[in-house]
Amino acid sequence: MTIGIAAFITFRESNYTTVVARYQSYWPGQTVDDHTFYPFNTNAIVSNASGGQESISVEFAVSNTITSIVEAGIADSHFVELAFYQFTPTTSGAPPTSKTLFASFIGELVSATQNETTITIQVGSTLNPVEAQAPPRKFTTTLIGEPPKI
Amino acid sequence: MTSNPSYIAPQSASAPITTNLRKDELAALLTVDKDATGQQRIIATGNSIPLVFCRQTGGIGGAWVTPPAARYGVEENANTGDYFAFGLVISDGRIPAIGTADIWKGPIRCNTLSEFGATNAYGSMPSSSYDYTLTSVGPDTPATSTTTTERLSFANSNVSYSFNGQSYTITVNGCTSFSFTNSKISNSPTSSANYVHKWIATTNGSAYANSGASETTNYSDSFSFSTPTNFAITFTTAFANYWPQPAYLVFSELSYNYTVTTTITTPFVPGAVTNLPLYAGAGGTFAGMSTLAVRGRYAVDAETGIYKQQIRCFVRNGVQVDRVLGGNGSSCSFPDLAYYLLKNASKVSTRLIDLPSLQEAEEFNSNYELFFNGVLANSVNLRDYLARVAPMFLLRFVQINGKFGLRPVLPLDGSFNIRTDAITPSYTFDDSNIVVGSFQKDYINASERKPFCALMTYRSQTESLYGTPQTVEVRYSGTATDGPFEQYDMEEFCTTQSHATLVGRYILASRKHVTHTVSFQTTALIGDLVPTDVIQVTWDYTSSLVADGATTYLYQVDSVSEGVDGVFRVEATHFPTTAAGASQVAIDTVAGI
Repeated sequence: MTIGIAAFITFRESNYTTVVARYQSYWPGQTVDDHTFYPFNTNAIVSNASGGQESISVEFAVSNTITSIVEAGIADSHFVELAFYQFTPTTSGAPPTSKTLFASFIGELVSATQNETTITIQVGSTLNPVEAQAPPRKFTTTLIGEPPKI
Repeated sequence: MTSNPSYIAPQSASAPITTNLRKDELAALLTVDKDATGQQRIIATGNSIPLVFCRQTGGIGGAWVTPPAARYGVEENANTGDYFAFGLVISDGRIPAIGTADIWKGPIRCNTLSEFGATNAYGSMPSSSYDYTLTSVGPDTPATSTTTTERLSFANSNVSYSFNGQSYTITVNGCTSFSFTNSKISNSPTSSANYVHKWIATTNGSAYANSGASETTNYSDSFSFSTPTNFAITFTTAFANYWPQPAYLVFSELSYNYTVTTTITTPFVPGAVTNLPLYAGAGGTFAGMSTLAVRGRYAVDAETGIYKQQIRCFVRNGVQVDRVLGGNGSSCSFPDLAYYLLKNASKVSTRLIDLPSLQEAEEFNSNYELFFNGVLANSVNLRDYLARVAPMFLLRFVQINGKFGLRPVLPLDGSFNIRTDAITPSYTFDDSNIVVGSFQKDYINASERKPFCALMTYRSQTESLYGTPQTVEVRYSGTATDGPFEQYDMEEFCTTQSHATLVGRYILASRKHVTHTVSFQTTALIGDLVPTDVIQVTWDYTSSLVADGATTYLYQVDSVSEGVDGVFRVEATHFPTTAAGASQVAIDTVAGI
């Protein structure tokens, strides 16, 4: 039995409700569930209980459209949703009437790299080792003025 | 540590010899400061704003804090006793007011001091009524008064006084005796002429004696007084224009004794005021933080320098946060703390927080009274912190499909109690769905499995006793009576022995019963499999020496990797069960060991 696996990606603004773009990378030239075709690759989705940093890389072919989406997304912490579907391919190559979601991931667009041909984004969270400190705030001169000297 | 990185020990044991160094890095040092006579700490820019996270329920919980001072006022006063006024930062965020009975300084409650005052505030530092200056006042020079009394007397013969008018008064202040003989009104001191007259005597302005209404030409009398008296005697006549002018009052003998009192006073001179070469602090908005101003004055004979001692507060209810089960207020729930920190420390979107898992964790922690009562004072990495502390609440910090959450380390029933009945695995894996050649089994090092005694350190405190560390020894009966020992430090947040004991049992049971970990790949569609789920794996094995065999174990999922190639990669830890299929670790944890 042949099984097909398709990846869908959705870019959303930081308010989550506004969709910036939807892409799928399986059916060239077709729009499936409002997702237009745009080639991209992604690595595995990992769920863990070790507290380790997990983010996902998604690699796109460079275009002005995707570049502007990425630049705006990094500046405003846009959400990125990935969904992996499994389905039975049709003989005509048309999208199937049903498909099964077997993995999904939601994160923020946290970084990106670009070369002549590809642009690769990292989807994760701001909960990284450098920025996420607890307690969250520090004593500053603005907050406490000039401290006593004794 | 185990050789298999996918095995997650609940917490690395503290190194016994380096415990003190380790404590220096923890907020516990600030929370459970046993040096009751230490000097008041001063705030420092760049340091973390402490976060007091606690809630007292049923007399349990709350946290002692040793807040730093952003304002420092003292008056060393040799005359009235030493005064202090400290402006303190208690916590980031808003906390309910701290009661006056919960504010201590050294070994005494501040509200027993004279001039005591305390003001809670949010977003500002109380200043009115608090003197944030630094002065030294020398001893006052008191006012003095010196009184001397001199006894004098007068006595003479043929004494005369010249006057005009119809009366003449002799006044003797401080008089103790007065005597006159042969009074006479005449037209010269030596004339024999004598006009009728009378006399009236007063003491201190009141009538004392008199000669009577009729008048005659000669009177003699004497008076004595036990205390000095302002004595006056007036010679007069009722007949107008009868006496010569000038007239003479003449006595053949006149004598009196009197006293003269002299008082010399010096004024009060206040002690010299010296401004100390120190700085009290100034400025700042104190936005978003809870503050407390405290003042008081010690007795003159109080211990030298006692005014510098550190203020300590017993905070019954800490920062008010959004609770995972709804509402807002102080909390002692670790899931509430995780929710607050995820939102506030790293601004993780609530879209990326698995709230249902936090709610389940909260219900579970509440059932077993696993509470967080502590102070986060020293900066730590949030992800490391949550991953390190979560097992102390029998939870795991997980990331599932990109969302952060907390999952119980052991399966729960519908009432959020640890299941001790037979466990039904979420998925079953065997030869039919495990990718050939992908199965890997790693045994846990023998050193990790030896019997040991877990020294669980928690914080013993009451509202009138500074927190002190307590250690409870948890071991399997009859094992490790003389070690080895492993220390697990929960002093930062745990205030009950039952909490420490429960976690200790879980650690010991896990170390005793968990024997190995596995990893494998599968093509089975397991998209809803998440970390901490329990699965069953049947592994067939063959070798040239023995016949084919198979083993079946339950495992708890550590991680699931889902790739676009359709292959799932699973890492899991042995989940030991009884013959009835119940979790051995759960039974030992709940029922005791």
